[in-house]
Amino acid sequence: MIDEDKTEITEEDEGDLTGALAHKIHTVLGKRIPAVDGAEKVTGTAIYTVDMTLPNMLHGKILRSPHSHARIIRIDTKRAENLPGVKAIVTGKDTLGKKNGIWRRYAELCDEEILCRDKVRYVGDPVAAVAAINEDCAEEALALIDVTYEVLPGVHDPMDAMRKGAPQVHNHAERNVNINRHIEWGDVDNAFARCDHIREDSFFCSSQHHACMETHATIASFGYDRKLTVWTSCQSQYYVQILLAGMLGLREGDVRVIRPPTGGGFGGKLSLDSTQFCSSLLSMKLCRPVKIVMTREEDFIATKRRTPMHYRLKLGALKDGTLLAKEVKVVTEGGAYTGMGATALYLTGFFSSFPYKYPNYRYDGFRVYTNTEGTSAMRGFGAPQAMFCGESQIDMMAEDLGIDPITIRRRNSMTPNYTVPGQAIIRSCGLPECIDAIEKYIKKRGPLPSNHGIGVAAYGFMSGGIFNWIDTPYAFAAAIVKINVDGKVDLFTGAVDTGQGANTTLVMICAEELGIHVDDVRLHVGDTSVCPVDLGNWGSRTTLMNGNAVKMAAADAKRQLLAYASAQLKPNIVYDLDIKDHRVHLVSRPERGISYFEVVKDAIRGNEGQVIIGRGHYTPHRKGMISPAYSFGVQAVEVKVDTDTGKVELVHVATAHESGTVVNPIGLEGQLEGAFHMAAGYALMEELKMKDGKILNPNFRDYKLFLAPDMPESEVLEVDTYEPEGPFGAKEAGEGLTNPTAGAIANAVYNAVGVRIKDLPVSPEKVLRALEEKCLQEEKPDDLYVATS
Amino acid sequence: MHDFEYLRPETIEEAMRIYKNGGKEARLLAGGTELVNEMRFGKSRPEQVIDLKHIREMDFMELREDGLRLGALYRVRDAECSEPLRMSRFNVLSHAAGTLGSPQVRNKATIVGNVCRASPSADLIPPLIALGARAKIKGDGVEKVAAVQEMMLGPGKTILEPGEIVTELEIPNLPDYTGCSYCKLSPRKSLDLAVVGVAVMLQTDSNMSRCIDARIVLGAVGPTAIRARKAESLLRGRGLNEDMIEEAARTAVDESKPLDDVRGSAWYRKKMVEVAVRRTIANSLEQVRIGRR
Repeated sequence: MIDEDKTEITEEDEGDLTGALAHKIHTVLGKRIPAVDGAEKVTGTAIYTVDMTLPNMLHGKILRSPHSHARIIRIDTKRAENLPGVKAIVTGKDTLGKKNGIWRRYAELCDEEILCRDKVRYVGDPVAAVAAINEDCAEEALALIDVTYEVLPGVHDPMDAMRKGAPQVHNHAERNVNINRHIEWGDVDNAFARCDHIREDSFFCSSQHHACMETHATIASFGYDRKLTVWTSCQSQYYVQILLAGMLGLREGDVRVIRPPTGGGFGGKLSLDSTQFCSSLLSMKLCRPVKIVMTREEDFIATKRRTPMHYRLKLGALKDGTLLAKEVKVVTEGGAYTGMGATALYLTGFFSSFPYKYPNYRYDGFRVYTNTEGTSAMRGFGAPQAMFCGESQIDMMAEDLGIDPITIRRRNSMTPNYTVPGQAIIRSCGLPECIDAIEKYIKKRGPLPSNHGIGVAAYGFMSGGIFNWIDTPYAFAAAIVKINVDGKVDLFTGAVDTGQGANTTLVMICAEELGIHVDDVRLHVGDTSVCPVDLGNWGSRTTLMNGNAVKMAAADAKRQLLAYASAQLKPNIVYDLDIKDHRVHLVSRPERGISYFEVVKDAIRGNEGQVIIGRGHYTPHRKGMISPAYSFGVQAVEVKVDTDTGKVELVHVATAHESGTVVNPIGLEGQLEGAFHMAAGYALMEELKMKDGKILNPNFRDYKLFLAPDMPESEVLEVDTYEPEGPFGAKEAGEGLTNPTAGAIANAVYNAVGVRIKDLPVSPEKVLRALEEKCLQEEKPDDLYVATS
Repeated sequence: MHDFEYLRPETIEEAMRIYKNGGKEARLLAGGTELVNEMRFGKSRPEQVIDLKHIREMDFMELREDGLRLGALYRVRDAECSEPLRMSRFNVLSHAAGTLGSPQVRNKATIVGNVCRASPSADLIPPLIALGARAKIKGDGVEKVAAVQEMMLGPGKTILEPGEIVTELEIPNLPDYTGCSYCKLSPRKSLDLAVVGVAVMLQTDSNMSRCIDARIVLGAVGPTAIRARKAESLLRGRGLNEDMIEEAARTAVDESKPLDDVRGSAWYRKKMVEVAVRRTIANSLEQVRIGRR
C-alpha cells in the first residue's frame, strides 16, 4: 500500500486534519476536495425527485388514518371518483394483500400493508390514494372519500402494551412483543458478586425525526410495455426495486428504480414508504406517470423515526475503576410496524458494551408494538441511545469511586485486535489515543467560569453493517470502471449519496488507484438498470464496502493498462509499474515512464478498439456478525447552563474521531458538524410530542431543530489509524459521530450545575426542575440511591 | 391553495373601497408571512386578496419631536436595521424586531401586520403596548385611533372590522429618565416563538433611585399580551432596589395566565415570567442609565 515513491508530492496539506498521513503518500486522498456534486446543489440546478415533472404526469395524494387504532368497516370512494379531475383511486382492495418488510425470510417481521385493508394501527396509516390532474384536486378528493371506522382502544406506550389484556396491535404478537434479543458473555452474576461497587440506573431515550430537507417523494411510471420505472428519494434503489416488485407482483427486472440527487436520508428513507407503493399502484392502473410528494406533516407523522428506548443499566466495578460486569435491559417503543427496528434493538444491545472491554456482559431487549408511528433506523441505529445511557452512567460510576472520567475510560478502553466475545473482532482502534487527545484539550481549556462544564463521552461504531436483511445473492457492493480513449473514466456504482459525500469519496478512491485526477472521473449512480447492485446507504458502509469495490475495479482496469505499458517500456521482469498523476512509470525508477493518455490510446487500439473495463466487488467474509471494522472516538462538549431558565447553551466542542485514513478532510469535517448538530438536537431540543398516539408538533415551527447561531465552535483533534480491511486504510466517519453527543452534554450539564438528567431531551424545564429539587435536597442529608455489594 | 382574486390598490382610498366591497371574504396582504401560510394550509380561504404593498403613502418611519410614526408597510427588518431608530429612545422596537422570525421573514413582515395578526406570542405587541402605541384606523366613513392594547381581543382577534385598515402607528414621546426593553425567552437563538416575551417601560427620577412610572407587558402567557398592573403599581412611586424588583416579578407571575402546550408547560412559563420580568426591569434601568449619559 505504501510505496517508496514519495517524490511526487507537491501539494502541501492545507487541511486541519494534518494527523491523517494520507496526503503524504497519496496524490488524491487526504486532499480537501470539494463535493463533486456540490456546484449543482448550491446553485439549485440539481434536479431532485420533488423537482421533476414528466409529460402526462398526474399528482397523487394519500388518505391517512386519523385514529391510532381502528377497524376499517367500509371505504366508499364514489363521491371522490365523481370529482372532475380525479383519474383513479386505489384502496387495500387494489393490492395483492401482501405485507411488506425487509426481512424477507421472516414472515412475521413483514407486517406492513401498502394500504390498510382491515385495520389501521397508527395516526397516519395509509388507507387510500388518489391520482388527479393536480395536487389541489387530489387533496379535495381525499376529503370526499368516506371511511367508516370502528375505533378501537389504542396502546401508545410500550410498558402499557406489554401488560396482560392490553389491546393487541398485531394478532400474532403476544403481549405486543414484536421481537426480543439476548446477548451474553462471561459469567455476569458471579462477576457482580466480585464487584466493589455496583450502580443501577434507569434512563429514557426519546424519539427523533429525520428532518430531511427533501420530503419523501416518488414518481412512478408504468407503461404499456408492462414495465415500471420509479424515480424516488431513497437510501437504496436496490431495496426499493426488489421490495416494490415483490409487493406489486412484478419481476425484479421489470422494475427500474432511478434515484435522482437525494435531499437527505439519515435512515428515514431506508424503509419503503407509501409514496413509492401508492404512486406505483396508481400508475399501474392508469399507465400514466403519477407523482406523490409527502407534505412536511406527512413526513413527520407517516414515515419512521428514531426508536424511543427505556433503559435499565447495572454496572459493576472494582475500586480502581476496572469494569467487571454490565447488565442491560431495554424496552423499545416499536410503533405499529417493524421497519428496520429489529436491528436497532440488536445494535443498541451490542453497542451498550462499547467502547469498553467488559469481561462479563448481558443484554435483554424487547421491541414492543404500539399504536404509534413506526420506529426504525436513524443515524447511529440504536448506538446513540446506548451511549447516552452508558456514558452517563460511567461518569456516575467514576464519581462514586472518586476517579476522574478520563481515567475510568482509559482503564477500560478497547484496544486494537480486541475480541468482543462471540460478537466481533476489533482490528484498528485508536481509542486510547483519542482519550489522550481529549484529556489534553480539557487541560487546554483551563479553569471554566461558573455554570460552565465540560462533559466527555467515548464511543465506537461499525464501519459497514453485515446485515443481509434482504437475503440478497449479490455482492454487498460492486463497481465497474470503464476507461475511454481520451483517458476519461466512467465509474458505475450503486452507492447512494444522500448528502453525506459518498460520491466524492468514491471518485477520489477511483482516481487515487488509477493515478489520475478527480475531474477525470465521471460518476454514474442511482439507476438500477445501469449501476451494479448495491445495498445502499446505511450502517456506515459506503466508504469501506463501496470503497473496496471501487478500488478493486480501478485496480482491475489499471492492471489491464499496465500490461500494455509493460510491453512498451520493456522493463526487467523484476520491476513493476504504477500510475501516478497521469504518468505510467516503474515504481522503483520513477524517471522511466510514459504518459497515461498514450498508454490508454494504445491499449484500446491493441484491444480491437474495446474500452477497458475493470470490475470490483466487496462482500465481508468471516468478519463476524456485525461489521468488518469499527471506528472510535471521544467527544468533549463545554456547556453553559442558565440556572434561572434551565437553558443549556453549547459553548465549544472537540472531537477526536479516528476513521482510519482520512479520504477527504472536508468531508469528515462536514460529517462531524452535521452529526453534532443532529445529536445536540437529540440531546437538548428535538422531541416528537404525542397525545394518544398523535404527534402534536409535526412541523418545523414546533419541532425544533438547532440553527446555525446555536451551534458552538467545533474542533477536530487528530488521531491517526490505519484499518487493514478498508480501502487505503479508511473506515467510517458518518454515523459514529452521532453517538457521543447526548452523553457528553448530559455529563457537561452535571459538571456545570450538579444535576443529572436521565431522560432525553435535556430540556430547560427538566434542568430547572432538577435544580429546584437539588436546592431542596441540599438541606437534607445525601440520600442518593447507591447499591453496594 | 384555492383560487382567489388578487388586487393591488395604490392609495389608501382605493384599498378601502375594495375592502368595503370584499367584506369578510377579502383579506389584506402586507408582508404575507402569516396570510400566505394560512392560505397554504387551508386555514384561510379568502375570495379576494388585497395587496397593500404598493400604497407608497403607508411606507414610512418618522421620528419627530413629539414621538414616532410608523406606516403600515414599515417592515420589521427596517426597524431592526434603521440607524436613527436604533439610536432613538424607541430602540426597544429595533431590538424586539431583531428577535422576530428569521432575516427572510423580517424582510417581508411588517410591524403593523404583527399587531393586526394578534398572536399571543407576537414579538412587537408587548413593546408597542409598553410604549403606549396607538393605531390609526381607517374604514368606510370611519377614522379612529385606538391604543394597541385596546385592540387586542383574543388570539388572532382584534377590534378591527372587515373594511378597516390600520394605516399607521403613532407612539408618543417618552419622558426623560425613561428606559424600555424587551426580553424574549425561546429555545433557539433565532427563528423561534417566544415561550415568554416581556416588555417593560420604566420612568425614574433623575438619580434613578425611585420609580415614577412603570408598564410591564407579558407576552405568550395569555390569550393576548397582558399588562401586569399589580406589579406596575407596586413599583410606581417606590424606591428601586433588588427586593422591590424581585417582588414585582413575583407579582407579575400571579397576573400571567399561561396554558400547557407543546411549547412549554404552564409551570415553566410562570417561572419564566418571573425571570423575564426581573431581567427586563434591569435592562430598562440600564437604558435609563445610558440615556442619562
